[in-house]
Amino acid sequence: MADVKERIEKILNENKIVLFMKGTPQFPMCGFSARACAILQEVGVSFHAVDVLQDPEIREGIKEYGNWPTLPQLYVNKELIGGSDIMMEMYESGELQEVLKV
Amino acid sequence: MTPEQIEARLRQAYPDAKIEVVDLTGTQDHYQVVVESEVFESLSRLERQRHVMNVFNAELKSGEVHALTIKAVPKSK
Repeated sequence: MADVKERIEKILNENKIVLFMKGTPQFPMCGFSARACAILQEVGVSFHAVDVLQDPEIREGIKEYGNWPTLPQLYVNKELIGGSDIMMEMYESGELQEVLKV
Repeated sequence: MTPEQIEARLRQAYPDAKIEVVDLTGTQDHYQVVVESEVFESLSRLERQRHVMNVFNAELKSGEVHALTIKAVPKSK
């Protein structure tokens, strides 16, 4: 568990905007992950996507790391913003665009 | 879980709430819920979602409920 925590922290240290998701932005494997990507693309920011389906250790580890049981998960500046419901709410209110101006 | 079970569970957790449950796919495992409760007043967005997810913790873990779209709205007193 210690190792996966370090791996997650390394990813978060190296990338300001990280989306942990199922599949890739080109081929999302879950409707919620697709929606999360679509929102980020709509805002027009580039982001680092981590496909948890390719990495079972991160898939489980990220749930523990942020105490958040579902995927996708958006992190900005190492901070958990939330899943696709929260992203959508924040997008609609304009908060997400502010948070992503990093 | 049936929509009735989902609603009953939410009702138990949030007696004051205005509750809406939609079975998105007709397969009883993809749900959208809207919960409007005073409980959410003092909570952040993350905490509100967590609060509702915790109500279905077991079912989300087992996969009985595969997908849950949550809208947790604070109700003004």
